Amino acid sequence: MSESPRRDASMVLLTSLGEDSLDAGYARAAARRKQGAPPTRYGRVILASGLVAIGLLLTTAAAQARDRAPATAQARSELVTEIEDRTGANERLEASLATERAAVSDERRAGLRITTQGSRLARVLSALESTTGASGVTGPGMSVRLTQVTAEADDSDGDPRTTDAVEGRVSDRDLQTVVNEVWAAGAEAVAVNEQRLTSLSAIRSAGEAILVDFRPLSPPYEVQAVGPPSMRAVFVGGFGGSYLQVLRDYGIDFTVEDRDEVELPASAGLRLRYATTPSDVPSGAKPGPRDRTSTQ
Amino acid sequence: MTPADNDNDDGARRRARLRSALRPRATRAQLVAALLCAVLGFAAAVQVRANQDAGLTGLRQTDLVRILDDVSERGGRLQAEARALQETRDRVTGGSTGTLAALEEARERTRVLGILAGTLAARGPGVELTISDVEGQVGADVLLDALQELRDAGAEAIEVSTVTGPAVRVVASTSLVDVEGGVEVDGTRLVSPYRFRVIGESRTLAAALDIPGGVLDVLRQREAQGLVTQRSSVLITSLRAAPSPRYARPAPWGDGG
Repeated sequence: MSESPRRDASMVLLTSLGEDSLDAGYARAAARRKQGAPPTRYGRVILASGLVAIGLLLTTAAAQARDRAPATAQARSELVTEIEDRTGANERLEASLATERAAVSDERRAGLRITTQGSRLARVLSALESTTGASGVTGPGMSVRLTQVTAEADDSDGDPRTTDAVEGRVSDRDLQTVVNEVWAAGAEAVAVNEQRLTSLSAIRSAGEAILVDFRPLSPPYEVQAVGPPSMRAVFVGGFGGSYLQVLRDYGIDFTVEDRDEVELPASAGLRLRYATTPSDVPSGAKPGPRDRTSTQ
Repeated sequence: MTPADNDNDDGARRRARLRSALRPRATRAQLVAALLCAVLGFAAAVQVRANQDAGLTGLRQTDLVRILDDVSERGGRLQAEARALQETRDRVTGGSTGTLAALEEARERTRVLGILAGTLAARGPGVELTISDVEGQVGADVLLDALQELRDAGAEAIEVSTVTGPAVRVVASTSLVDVEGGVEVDGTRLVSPYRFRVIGESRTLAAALDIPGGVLDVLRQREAQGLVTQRSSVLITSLRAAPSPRYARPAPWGDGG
């Protein structure tokens, strides 16, 4: 193409690839067709056997997929039914526990009221119950609501391949971060979707589902908190607010609202199986020397 | 169609050819192509709909099994609480002995809630997790993740500290915030090396930290060292002040008081 082939040799190849690599072939085919020459028998055989091979491949794949589908689908639907059944049973048990808990609490208080020592204990106990989540609480606060807009993200361009599992879906990490920031903003009590958070509560995910205290929650997620009037401003102005702004870019919408009155339920099952109070450390001990167990 | 500035004969011919190619004709080839397009569209639509299946049905089987485990675990806890409540009720409602029993029961409950609220020291089996973050890559997010993982594995009392420095008792309201050179836990600045002292079932706790993609994996990715030691007895002595909630009142239902 040019007078300096040494330098441009590769460029020539590239250019010809880009510009007219197909032209010659088309031209030959057109010429052949014009001559009226029929495709060779050899060509037909290759075409036919190729089509048959593709057909076989597709049929086999379809047959295999169909064989496997019912077994998986059935096992899965059984699992889903089982989960739903047990979740339902848990919820019924929980409802009856709430009444039972309240009744026991009343009886305990009635029993304690008789003595002064008892009355003092009752006051301590009441504050402990509110803080740990052992009793339901009410008070002023706020609500942070996270709404996923997955469907929109899926459908917007009609191409299923662009569906990103992360896009538009609230993750356990998101909820953990929001809850952490709500506590940091001064909350005294927090619940996620009516599930009270305690020092035993974990926010975890299994696949795309989020579990709080081993209970699967479904979106939208609402974090409700009782706390000081400044709580919302501190939350929105801090890391929590900027985190939510970032989530919005990922297709997760949010609202943060002040509430005059938030009602948070008690947590179920606040029991200890391993931790006890050490007999050698007097209760109410000052934070003592902590390096009692020497490491390294 | 286009402005009259086009006097290129060649260009006009090309466009004419393009138009004729686009014109619908009922040739066999075009019918077959139309049919294939329709099938493809249908298949794509079916696929998309299958993927959109909402809620639990959309999850993988392994995830479903895990959720079922968790739901059953929760059921077990609820039943245990139901039994405990019944026992308490039997003891407390018993005339003059009931008053004494109520006092006794209230003390026991204060003890349990005191451990949860961090107002009492705690002892039990568990683990110690030490994190040395030489590169400064471990922030509040990693420590929060560790905390959640420990709670998920059944941690009952947790203390987080700088190994030779201040310690903070972790409670429900504990929050972790990134600060210069370290992490602030409920207002106390901690720096590496960090140490979690945790009470719970030690094997479960250790296993939870070591799962693929878990805390120890993340620490390795961030070039930090995580060391888990199982202990038959862990003592947690850092304490919280007795709680005095200012805004949260006991709910009028049940716990009016």
